[in-house]
Amino acid sequence: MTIEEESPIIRTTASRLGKGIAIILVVMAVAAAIHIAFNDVWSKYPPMNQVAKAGTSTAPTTPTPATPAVGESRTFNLAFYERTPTDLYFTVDGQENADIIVNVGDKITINIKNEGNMPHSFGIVTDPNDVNSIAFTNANIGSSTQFLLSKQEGTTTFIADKPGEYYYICLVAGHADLGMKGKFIVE
Amino acid sequence: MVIEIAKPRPIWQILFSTHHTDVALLYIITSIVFLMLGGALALTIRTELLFPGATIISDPTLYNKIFTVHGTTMLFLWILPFISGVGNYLVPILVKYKDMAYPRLNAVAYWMTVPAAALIWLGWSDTTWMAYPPYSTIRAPGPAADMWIFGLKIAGLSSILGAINFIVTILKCKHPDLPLMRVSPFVWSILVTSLMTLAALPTFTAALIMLYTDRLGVSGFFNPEMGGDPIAYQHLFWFTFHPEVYIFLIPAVGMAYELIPKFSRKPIFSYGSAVIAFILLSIIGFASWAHHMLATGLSFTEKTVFMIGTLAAVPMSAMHVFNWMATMWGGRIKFAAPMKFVVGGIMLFFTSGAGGVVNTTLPLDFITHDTYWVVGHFHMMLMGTVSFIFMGFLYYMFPLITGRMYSERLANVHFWFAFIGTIIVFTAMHIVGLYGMPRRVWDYVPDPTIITLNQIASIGAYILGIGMAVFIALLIRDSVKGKPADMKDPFGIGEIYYDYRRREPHH
Repeated sequence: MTIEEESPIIRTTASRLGKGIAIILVVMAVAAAIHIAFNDVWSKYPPMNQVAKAGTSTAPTTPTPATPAVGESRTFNLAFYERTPTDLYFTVDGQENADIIVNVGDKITINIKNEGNMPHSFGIVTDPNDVNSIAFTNANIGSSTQFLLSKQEGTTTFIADKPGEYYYICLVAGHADLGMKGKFIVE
Repeated sequence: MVIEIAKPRPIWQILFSTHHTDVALLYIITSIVFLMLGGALALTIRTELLFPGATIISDPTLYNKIFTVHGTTMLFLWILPFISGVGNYLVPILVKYKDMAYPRLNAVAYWMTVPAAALIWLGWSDTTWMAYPPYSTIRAPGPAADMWIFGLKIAGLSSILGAINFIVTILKCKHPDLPLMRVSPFVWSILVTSLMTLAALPTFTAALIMLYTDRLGVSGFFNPEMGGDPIAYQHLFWFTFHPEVYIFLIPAVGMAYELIPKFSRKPIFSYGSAVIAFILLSIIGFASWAHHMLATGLSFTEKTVFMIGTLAAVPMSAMHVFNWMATMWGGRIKFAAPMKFVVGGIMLFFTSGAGGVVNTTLPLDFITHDTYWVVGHFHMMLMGTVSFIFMGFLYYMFPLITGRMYSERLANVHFWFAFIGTIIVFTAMHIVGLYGMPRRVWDYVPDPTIITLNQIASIGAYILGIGMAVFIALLIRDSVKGKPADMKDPFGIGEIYYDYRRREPHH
């Protein structure tokens, strides 16, 4: 007598295997549905330590300068945009990377909003390839190490006191190269 | 998909059973599902790298998420559950006890892998599976990264519960007439890895809590602004995960000891040296963690110590390999699928072992560090050796689990596709690493050599993918259509098979 005759065994049928596979597929489908339904939630929030910092930080907004303005007051509304992660640009009052032309002594107010997903920061430099060549210290919104996170806004006011041709760029390393730069001309 | 004794039980009874064979089946089935899902992600990665520039993945962050989930899945949802599954099935049989020591704890340990898997797969963290700060603490978006942290925490707790259960089962519930020096080397491998798990895992558990509180901003363990040190995380992480490499490897070695003597139809050449090598390897495993960090500015003394600590694992690995070769030597070897996979795995073990010696040698480490060489190296180990032996062992357990024989012809197709694919993809990765291609990149320099090597690697991955597709098709088809197996001697190598009557639930 073989051992199988002593303890008869029942081997799986196709329908039982089908049930087993169906259970696995249903669990996977439910998980996939939850994942897709909340697709925009899973990676939405920066770490809490950054939220706390952004809330209390002084960096994104620079205080109004002490020197009095001699020219007129000008306001520009800018935004950071990302077409793809490697194709970035600014809008200046709706125009892509438009030249900003002002007169010496004008009091400039820049309002900027980060409409992209990546962190960005704003500055005016003499050399667009060098984030440290800051032309107007008070013009910075954030810095190369402190950023506006996605959907955050910042504002700054400064006096364009030196004539010349400058560039406004994103101070995050590499972003100017990827398209986030435009001319800032003081006449 | 499994045999039943006397009368078939409803599936929900198997799902919520605490019997060791039922829990083992859940572990094994879960691990195979995640092997396939992780493999699909791997093929996505290789397809993205087929050509330079964006091909099928438009967003580099998505690419980061894919390789993070791929790595986490393969390590924590394929290798570890598979070890627990085989251990659960066989350890009580091999130590002649009726079940695991704590059957309910055993079921709890399994059911903890489910929320762990859900957290990892729902969130898709982009931290890489190592989650190094500063990225993981100040940039990685939540809740994905937080879910990943909790997922791994639960998976770690599950491993610890499983390890306690194995240790008690082996040391306290073993049959009194069976001395510890006579149990199967596989039982030794599970004992040693369980002890290593208990010693190694608490460090990572602590590191995860520190990572989480750092993300909350209430602590600054890894934040230099608050007096912390990002490198400290790497020490904590690798103190767990270099031993973890041996936790992955040693059960595979134990499985090889289970298969090689049987399929060579010879007794094991040296049981004592196998046990000694297990124990020494488990101790030496703790002396090499910083070889992952040789490029982080350790002092020359520290680097030398860890280089020697790493090289010290070579004699033990060689003891195992020589033991296997001496066992096979002069044996009447039957190259059924399990034996093919084990011998293939041993061959690839040479390559990955040799690569490891290169990585840890100080002057060479700086050339290979963070390049594709490293990716090729650890994949050669985890796919080429560990997963190969696991798949071979699954073929060996197939008659025990299903009562049917798998198709040897399809298994042969699986083996050759997997073997050739593995060699092509991971050798090409080694070479492209030496040409300077960094790891974890979504795009690469459009240099003709680098493009060609990436394309060779991708083609190898597709060949491997075909092999794995054959594997899953075989598992599904033959568990209902395979010929009924001779339950005493399914492989025709002598009546030394496990007793299937274990499947009869006693509680």
